[in-house]
Amino acid sequence: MSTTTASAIPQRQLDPNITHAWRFGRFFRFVLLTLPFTALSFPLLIWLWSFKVACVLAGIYLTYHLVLTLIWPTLEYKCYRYDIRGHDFLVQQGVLFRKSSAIPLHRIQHIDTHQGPIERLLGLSTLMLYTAAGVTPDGVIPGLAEEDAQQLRDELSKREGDDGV
Amino acid sequence: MSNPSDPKKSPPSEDPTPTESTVDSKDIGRADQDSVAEQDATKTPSTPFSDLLESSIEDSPFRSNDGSITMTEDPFLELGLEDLPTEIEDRLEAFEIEGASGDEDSIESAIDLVDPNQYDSEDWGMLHPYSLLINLLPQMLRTVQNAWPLLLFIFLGDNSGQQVFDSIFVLFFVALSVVRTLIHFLTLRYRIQDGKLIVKMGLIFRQARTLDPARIQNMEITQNLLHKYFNLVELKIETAGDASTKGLLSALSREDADYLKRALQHSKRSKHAMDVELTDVEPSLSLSWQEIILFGLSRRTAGTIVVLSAIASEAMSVASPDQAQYVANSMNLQLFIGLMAISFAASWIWSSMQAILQYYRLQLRIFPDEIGIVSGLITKRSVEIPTHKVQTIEWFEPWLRRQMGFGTLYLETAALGMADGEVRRSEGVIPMVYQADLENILGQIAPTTSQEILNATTYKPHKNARFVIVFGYLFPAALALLFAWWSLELAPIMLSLVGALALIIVVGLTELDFQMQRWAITPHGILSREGYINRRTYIVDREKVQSVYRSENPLLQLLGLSQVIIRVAGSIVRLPLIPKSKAETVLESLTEDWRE
Repeated sequence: MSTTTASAIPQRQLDPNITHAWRFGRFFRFVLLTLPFTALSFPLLIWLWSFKVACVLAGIYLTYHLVLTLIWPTLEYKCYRYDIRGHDFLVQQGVLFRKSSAIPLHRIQHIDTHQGPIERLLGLSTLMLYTAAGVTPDGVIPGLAEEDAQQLRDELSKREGDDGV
Repeated sequence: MSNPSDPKKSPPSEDPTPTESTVDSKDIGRADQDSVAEQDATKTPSTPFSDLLESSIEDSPFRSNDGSITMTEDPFLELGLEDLPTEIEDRLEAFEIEGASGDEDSIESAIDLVDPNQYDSEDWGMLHPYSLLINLLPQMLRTVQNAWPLLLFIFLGDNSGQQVFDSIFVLFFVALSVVRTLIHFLTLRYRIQDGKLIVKMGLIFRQARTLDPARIQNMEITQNLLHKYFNLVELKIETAGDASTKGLLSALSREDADYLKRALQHSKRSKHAMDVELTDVEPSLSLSWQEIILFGLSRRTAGTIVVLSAIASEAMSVASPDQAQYVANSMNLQLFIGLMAISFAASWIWSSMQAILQYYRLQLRIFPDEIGIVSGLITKRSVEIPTHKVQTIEWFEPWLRRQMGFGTLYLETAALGMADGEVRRSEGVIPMVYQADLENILGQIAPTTSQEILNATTYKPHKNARFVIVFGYLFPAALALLFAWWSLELAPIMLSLVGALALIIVVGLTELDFQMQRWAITPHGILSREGYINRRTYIVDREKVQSVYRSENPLLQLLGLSQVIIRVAGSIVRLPLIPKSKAETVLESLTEDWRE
């Protein structure tokens, strides 16, 4: 099924469960990295400036990470859209740093499916689309239910390739 | 421009392992190549051979019954190419069905009409025994590179009473290099199989690489002094993909290298594949030594000066610490300026020498299907790039070079050419091109695209782009000010004066940079120009675009701007900042190309 939408704004959304995956991952990072780092650097900040400054800096740092952990996944989910048109694949992403890309189907070299431990727990997987342009993927679609990922991969690889290099 | 498809150039006469089928197909191949060549001679010389290819596709299925060679497995080999259609309509039709025809490789062999297996050999070839000598020095350098902290420790550390230990260490490194070179020589084997080059190597970790001729981005033959002494060459073959050179045969006899090159080229679209040396043809451009020295002089010199002065001061403090201390104490303005002048002169001489070594007697030859660049004083380098493999053309004009009326032309392919695993190096560099000659050369390399691009109306970025450009200059200026405040301990008045001056320079550069930026999108090409001090103009064929995206960070969103980025194999091209709505249109129009 190739959904040919006329508009350049992609419609399809990720699996809502991806927010949980993101939240879990960031929560772990918060507990394992952010908190110990803050605790360790707190005395240093006091020594450098004063207790007040240290509190303010640590507060900003922790708030930033809490927002990133608790609120951001929902926003990111809302901003993440993708779609297949007849001839290309569109991805739109980013809350503050926005990026919208278009990848021609016939340029796709290979598609990687990636699944981290949390994603596996939730039955999700991430698709990475590569063209001949470079070592970094041209498009990343996280949070697809496994069967959706399978289906999308089939849709994407339907068109005959021509790498143009 | 000279026509390389001279009918008297026939396919190679020597064939190491002739079989019945190869003899047959070769004869036919020769006849048809001649007719192709005559056909081509009637066209304009700049017609890319790929156009002819495309036009031949349509006719091929209908002519498959006139072939007399049936023992080959490849059906396309049976096709005749006596009358290639020349009308534009035919080409357009052929172009439309190109995607459907599919297998590009078989079409390519149809053009050459030579058995792809004719160069196959049963025996594995190996490097020339002298490769032991040739490779030893680079191998030692590489070993030293990998173990430099250790060696530094040995040489600079406290040496008292440890000399025996140290020399054992050094001996060990030498021995390691010798063993590695020996293993490399003893285990490396190559041969041509099914028209593909296979290279095997390794003692414990074995690897075998297969290089498909259709995938080759460029071939390079290098000959340094040692090579020259033994009459050997180094053959380097690069394909698209990751950074490492895909096929490196470091020491081959001339004949072996020529044989390999021919074997790999004949299944590509090369019609002149048989002229091995390329030098029989008049060059489109050749550089005089004066131009090369000018190129060396107009290279960026600040970095070299820093490195040179660091080395000089280090050497001085090691050699005679007292004198270094004395110089440091008696440093005044005159001495400082004098030293600066000396280091500038040294760096100019250095970069001119480098340029002469690298680009001496550079000759550029452009064929309808291939670009050949030969250069070098001591180490001779000869690169061949198939024209249709060129992904991005970069026209680089640093301020000084621009004032002299020159620019440097870079031809980028998808091969990520790496020199010594560090600096990304362009495959095709033509260091000094007269601005007046540019149009002519571009017209030969990319006729359609350059014609459009050079005549296109170009657009400026949105006026708000200035606010983004200024950041690029503000940051280094702020760093420099911070440094001045911290190290020179300037008085506040002095500091604010310097600050004001820096601000004026920053604003001025921003404005100049802004005025210089241009972009254009034509039916076939994309143009993007950036930078005032180092002006770079990128030209991309729209057919080479891999993917496109636009991105907006918060600042860009505030200004209502958008950054359009075009990904091409091997490089990335950014358009100047344009309004978001315009960026959407640009993206949309580029995606239109991908419809069938």
